[in-house]
Amino acid sequence: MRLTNNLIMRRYMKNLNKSFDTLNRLNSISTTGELYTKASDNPAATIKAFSVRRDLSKINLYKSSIVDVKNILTDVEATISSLNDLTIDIGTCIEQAKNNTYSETERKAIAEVLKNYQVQILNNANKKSAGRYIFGGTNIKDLPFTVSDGKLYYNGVDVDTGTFKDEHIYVDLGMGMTSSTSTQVNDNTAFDIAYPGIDLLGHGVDSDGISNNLYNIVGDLIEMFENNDVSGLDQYAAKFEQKRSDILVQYADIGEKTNFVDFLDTRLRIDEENAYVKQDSLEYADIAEALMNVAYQRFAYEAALKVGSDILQSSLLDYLR
Amino acid sequence: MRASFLGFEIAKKALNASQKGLDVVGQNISNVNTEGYTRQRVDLCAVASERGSYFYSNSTTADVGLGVDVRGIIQVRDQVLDYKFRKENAINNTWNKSLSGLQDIENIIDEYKTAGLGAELESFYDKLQSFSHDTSSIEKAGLLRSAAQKVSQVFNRFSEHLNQIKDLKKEELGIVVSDLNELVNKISKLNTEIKGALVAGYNPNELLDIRNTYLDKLSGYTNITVEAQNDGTVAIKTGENYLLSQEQQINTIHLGSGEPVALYNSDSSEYITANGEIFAHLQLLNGKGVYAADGESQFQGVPYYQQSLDYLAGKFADVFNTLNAQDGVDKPLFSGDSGGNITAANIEVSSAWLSDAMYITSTTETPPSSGAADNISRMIQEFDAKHTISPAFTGSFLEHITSLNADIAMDVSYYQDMAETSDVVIISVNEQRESVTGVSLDEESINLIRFQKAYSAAARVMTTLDEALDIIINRMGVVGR
Repeated sequence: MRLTNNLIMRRYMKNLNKSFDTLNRLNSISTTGELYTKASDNPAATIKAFSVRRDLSKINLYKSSIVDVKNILTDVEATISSLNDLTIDIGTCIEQAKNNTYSETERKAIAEVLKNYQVQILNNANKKSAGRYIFGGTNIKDLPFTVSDGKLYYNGVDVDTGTFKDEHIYVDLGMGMTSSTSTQVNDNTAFDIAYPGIDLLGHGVDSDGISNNLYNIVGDLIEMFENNDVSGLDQYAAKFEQKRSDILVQYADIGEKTNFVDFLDTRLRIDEENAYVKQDSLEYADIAEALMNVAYQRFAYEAALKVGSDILQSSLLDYLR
Repeated sequence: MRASFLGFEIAKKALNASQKGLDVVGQNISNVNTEGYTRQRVDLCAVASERGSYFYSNSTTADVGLGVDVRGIIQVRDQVLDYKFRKENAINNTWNKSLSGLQDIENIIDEYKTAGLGAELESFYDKLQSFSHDTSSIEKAGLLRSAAQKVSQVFNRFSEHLNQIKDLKKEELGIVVSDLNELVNKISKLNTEIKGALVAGYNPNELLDIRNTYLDKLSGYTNITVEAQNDGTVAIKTGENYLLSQEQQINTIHLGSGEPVALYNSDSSEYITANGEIFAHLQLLNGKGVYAADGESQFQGVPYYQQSLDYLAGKFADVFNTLNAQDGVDKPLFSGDSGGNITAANIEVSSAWLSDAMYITSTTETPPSSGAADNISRMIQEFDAKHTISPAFTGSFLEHITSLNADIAMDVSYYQDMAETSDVVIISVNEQRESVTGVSLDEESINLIRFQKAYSAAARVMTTLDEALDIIINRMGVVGR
């Protein structure tokens, strides 16, 4: 092919440009460590990277939800532990009263002690955690338990005579939250953070006419000691023992729930680790390889510059007289 | 009998021819860097002796020719390569100008490095989840509402930017069209001059070069076929429409004002182009992708992305507005225009929600308790669920956004590759052309020597003849001087 000066120069410029362009690109990769600046640089890899990023974002979300849930669980556990201690103390009191014969004044003294314990039971049941009442079920803003005329009310309903429906507050912790109908979330797909106080303390009346509610049972005991009539003490003592083991069962249950959340947390951390590994392989360059590429390209570019200075100089005119 | 001064005539012609040769070399060398210059050559021919048609003329077999004649100065150019170049130029511009337009769209939609619609929707989802833990918290409700506001604002912003691209491209198209018309005008004027020059009998090489430059530029705007006529003029046509007819009538193209954007001839019929910058702009302005009806452009241009975003905004608002109803009463969280249509351009948080952060319905149970979050759970599930967002897409909201990102990423990547390939092709064609028409300094310097030597030799001949005549004139027949 016939070569002209313009042709040679244009070709040289084009190749030089291309070499410099590559140098620029490799330089930017080795300084930032990132392979791509826009999705179009490698659509296949970057679209996969988007998906991995969404996964990571969800994992972060669940991690912070778990922190919230753990805080609530800690407070619930502390309260139940407190209640447990109270029931031990009350139990001792009752045992002593059962086994010894006390005078009226002594019984009145016991009543006062029991009154104190009863108030503490109420305070525990009305415990708040980070501004929300934890034993109000779906009611987290108003006081769950109130006393009026010596009767205990839960969310405005008498605990002995009222009927109560199931209460749930479901938190999505990445277990695949689904609903069976348009209204009800499937119980094993989300974490329930509602702890209705009536489940904690009990409600309704049993076949012997004794209240199932811890507060009310203690209330009845207080009345017995104040009125100096301990005829039903054995029956109540048995009932109280039952209530005590109820509390223990709840204590164990909370322990289980805490373990479950810890398990979720650990699993999330593993998922997060895997996601980071995937992200690294998709989006980031191997620094050693990148630096090597830059060095080689720089060498190629400088070689091109040097060659150019030789080609572009001479023509026949330089050699004619 | 030979004429006495015939030799001088021959030598004079030779000197002339060599002079001309040197002039042409000078012209070529001075124009070595001129854009679009075609190298010129002297066209020499030997002159035959004039025996003519005289049957009884005084001819001998030892008749010598009458010297050299400069027939003309011609330019070395290959029409086929010009045709190849112009065809490829149109295609090259289609790829490159479309790529540039797509990159403008990419700057808006691509979320790889910048937070966009997907990021704001995720943030909204996070706030929704957080709110479900404590639906009595006004702070969390406020945060959720802010996140919703950001989502609407991003929708609005995307829509506005897409409109801006559309306006800019229309303006660019207008400029290209007026440039095209001007070029056609200039070519038509040149045609007249070239025709005149040819009639007068000389080669208008420089004018031809200028006309070729104009034609090259024109070929970038639209696909043209150049028809060379016998009188030196050219006719230009695009497909079946003549821009410059064989009778030299000019067809002025103008930009229509309606939708879809189109160009029209002088006779108001539509100007159809198949390649070139105009075609690239048109498909960017009109392309509806999968939403194109029959006959509409299926290129994924600005309208495709505008419609996709409109569908998404509409569905998103619809799902949440429906979920927010309480006891059969509508409580829309998002609103659009006064007619109730919600698009990406007009979506906003409803005024009811703006004035009360707790407007969001957290529970549908009666009586509602302060901590019940069943409706929020529903909203969370609906956010992740698959919806029929548009006639062409069923999936979750975030999947839709990812698919839009994938669309623009793959288009840009594809057009980048095609543009690169086309660049290689057109450079190769240009090189072939340059190889034929370009000036080589080495060649010209050899020509210099050639013509200079010829000039010296012709001068020598002149001197010799002069001496010979001198003998006849001054020394023949002088006896005894």
